[in-house]
Amino acid sequence: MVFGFNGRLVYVDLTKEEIRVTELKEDWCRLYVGGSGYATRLLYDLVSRETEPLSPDNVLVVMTGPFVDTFPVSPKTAFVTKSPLTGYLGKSIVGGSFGAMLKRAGFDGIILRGASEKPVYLAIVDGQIEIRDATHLWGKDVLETSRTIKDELSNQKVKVAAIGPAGENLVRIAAVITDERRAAGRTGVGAVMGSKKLKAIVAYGSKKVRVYDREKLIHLMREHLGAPLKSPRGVGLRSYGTSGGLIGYALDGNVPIKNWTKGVFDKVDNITGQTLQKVYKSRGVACGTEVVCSIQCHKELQVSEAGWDEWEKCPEFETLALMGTNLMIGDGRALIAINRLCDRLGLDTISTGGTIAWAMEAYEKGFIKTEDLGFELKWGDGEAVLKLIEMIAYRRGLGDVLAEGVKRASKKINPETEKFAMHVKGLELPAHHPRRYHSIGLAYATSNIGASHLQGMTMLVERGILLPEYGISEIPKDIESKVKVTIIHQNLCAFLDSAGLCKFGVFGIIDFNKIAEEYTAITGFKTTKEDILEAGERIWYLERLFNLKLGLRVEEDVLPKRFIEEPLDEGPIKGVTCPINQLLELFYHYRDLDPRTGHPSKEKISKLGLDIELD
Amino acid sequence: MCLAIIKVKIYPDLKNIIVTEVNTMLVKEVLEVLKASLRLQGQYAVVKNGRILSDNEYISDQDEIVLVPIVEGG
Repeated sequence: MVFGFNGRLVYVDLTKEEIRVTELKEDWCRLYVGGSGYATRLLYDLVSRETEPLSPDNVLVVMTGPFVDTFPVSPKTAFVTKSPLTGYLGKSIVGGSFGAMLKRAGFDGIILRGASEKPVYLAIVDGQIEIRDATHLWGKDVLETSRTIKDELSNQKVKVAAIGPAGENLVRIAAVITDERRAAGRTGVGAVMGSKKLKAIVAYGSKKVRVYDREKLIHLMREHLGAPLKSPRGVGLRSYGTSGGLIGYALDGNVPIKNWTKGVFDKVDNITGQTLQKVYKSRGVACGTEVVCSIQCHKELQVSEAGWDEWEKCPEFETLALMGTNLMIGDGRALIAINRLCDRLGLDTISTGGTIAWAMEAYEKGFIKTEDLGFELKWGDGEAVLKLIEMIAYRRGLGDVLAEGVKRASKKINPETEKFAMHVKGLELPAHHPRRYHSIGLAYATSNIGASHLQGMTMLVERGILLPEYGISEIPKDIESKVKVTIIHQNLCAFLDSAGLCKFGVFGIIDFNKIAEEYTAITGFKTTKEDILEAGERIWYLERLFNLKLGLRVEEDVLPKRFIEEPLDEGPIKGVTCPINQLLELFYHYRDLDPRTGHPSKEKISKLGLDIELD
Repeated sequence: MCLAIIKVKIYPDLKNIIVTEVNTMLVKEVLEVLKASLRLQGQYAVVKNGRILSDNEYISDQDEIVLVPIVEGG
C-alpha cells in the first residue's frame, strides 16, 4: 500500500453503466506523485490524437494527491482531460472539500469514460458507488443542483462537484463547480462532464487514510499552519483574499485594461478587494468546510441590498481583473453579480472575461453589430455583460459563437479579429501582464494547458517572493535568469498540483525543505527538495509529451502579438513589450527541447525515468 | 528631530487624512515608522500621485502619501 492514499480508484464507463474499482499503482505514485501528475499518466495511455474531446471516447480523470485530507492547506483536486478548448492537456485544479470527501469515501480518484444516454450523477458514499438518475437536475444551476442532491440524499455534508447549464450545453469555457462555489474553471472541463451527460459527482465518507509518520506529521502541521501568520504574503491573503491584490497590481501595471490596450483604469478603486470588503460586511473562511487552513483566503460578502440573503463570494483577483479592469467595469456590485452568475451557470470567469473583452473590441471596431446582439456592447456596461453571460451559457444568439471560446469565435466572426483574441493554445489569458513581468509571458507561452498563471507563478518571483532554497535569491532582471526562474516555477507548480497542496499556502509562506519533510512523513518516500524539483520536472515533461502526442506544434508556444508589437502609451508600463522570442530561445535550450519540433531529447526523457512509449 | 510633516491615507479609506511628523524622509524608513505607529500588519506600498515609490526614494515635507496594502494573490 502507498501511505497518503487509499490505494483505490473508481473506473466508470458511463456508456456501459459499468463500475470497477482498480488499484493505484505505487510506481506511478513514486514517479508522478498523484493528483494531476498521476491523472496525466493515466490519460497518456487512454487518449489519442483522434479522440474528440466532447465524444464518449474522451476520458476525464478526477484525482487527489497524497497531501489531500492528510495535511492542512491541501485542498486541491485535479480535473484532467483532453481539453475541448485547446485540444491538448486540459487541467483544472480546484480547492474546497470535494477531494477530501472523495478520499474519506474510500477512493483517491475517478476515471470517467463513455457517455450516458440520459442525465446522471455519480454518488460515491462510504465505499459504495452508484450511477443515479439526474433527469430532474438537468437544466438546474449549480447551487440548486448541489442543494437538491443534498436534500435527496438527506445529507447536508456530502460534497458535490457539479456542472451548470454551460457544461450541459457543451460550452467550451464551462467549469465544474465544487462545494457550491469553488471553480475548476480552466480548459473546459465542465463541457467534458456535460458531453458525458454527467451532471454531478457526489462524495461522502468517514474513512481516514494512513500516513507514514503521524507523530512527525503533527509537528510539521503545526509549523506549517503557523507560517502564514508570520509571512507578509500570508497576512495579506488572510486579510483580503486574492481580491486584495488588484490595487497593488494595478499600480504596478500588472492588470489587463480594455483587452490589454490601456495602462490606466480610473475606476479601479471602486472594485478592489479592500473597497468591496469595506463597503459590504465581509468574512474570511477556508475554501471548504473540511479544509484546515490558517490563511482562509476565501472572502464572502453580505450584499443584502441586492436582495441576496446569503453570503456571496467576493470575486477573486482574476475575476475582478478579467471582468472588471479588462472590460472597464468600475462597479463593484456589478462584478459581484457577474461572479455569482458565472458560478451558478458554471462558467470560467477568466475565459468568459477574456472572450467578452474580445467581443467588446470587435463591437467597437464594427465586426459585431448591435443587431447581432439585440443590445449595445460598450466598455464598462455591466448589465450588457450579464446578458451576454446568459447567452453564452445557453448558447443563445451570438452567445453560441462566444461559447466556443475566443480562438474559435474570432476565427468565425472575422479573421481580422484574431489579432486581438487574447489566448495561448486556445486558452484565454489570465490577468498577470506579460509586458510587466516578462517571465509570466514565457510561462503563458510554454504552459502545457495554454495561458495559465498557475502553471508557473513567476510574477511572484519578479515581485520579490524568492526561492532561496533553489538558488533564487534575487529578483530576476535579465533574460537568462527569467528563463531559469520560469523553469523552476513550472516544475514546482507541477509537483504541487500533483501533491494537492495549495500554492497560496506554499510560495512566500514556507520553503521546500519543509515540503519535502512533509511529503516524506505522509508517504514514506524519502524526499529532498531536489527530489521535489525533479518530480515536478518529470511531470512537466510528461504533460509536454502528452501534448506532442496529441499534435502540439512548436509554433503554438507563442504569446498574442499585442504584447510584442503594441506597447502601451500610458501608465506604469508605457512603452514596454515582452521579449518573448529571446525568452523562448533560451527556454528551449535549458529545457532541452528541439527548437524545430518542440520535442525533448531522448536523453532527457531517459534521465527523468519517464515510463512511456514514444510514438 | 522632525524632518517632515506628511499627510497619510490608508487605503481604501481615502477620505481620512492622518497628519504626522517623521524624522526620516527615506521611503523605506518612513514606511517602517508608520507601520509601527499605526500598527499595520503585512506588506504595504507607499504611493504618491498614483505611483508606487521605491524603497530608496525620498519623500518631501508636506507630501501626501497613501499606504496601500499589498497582497500577492493568484
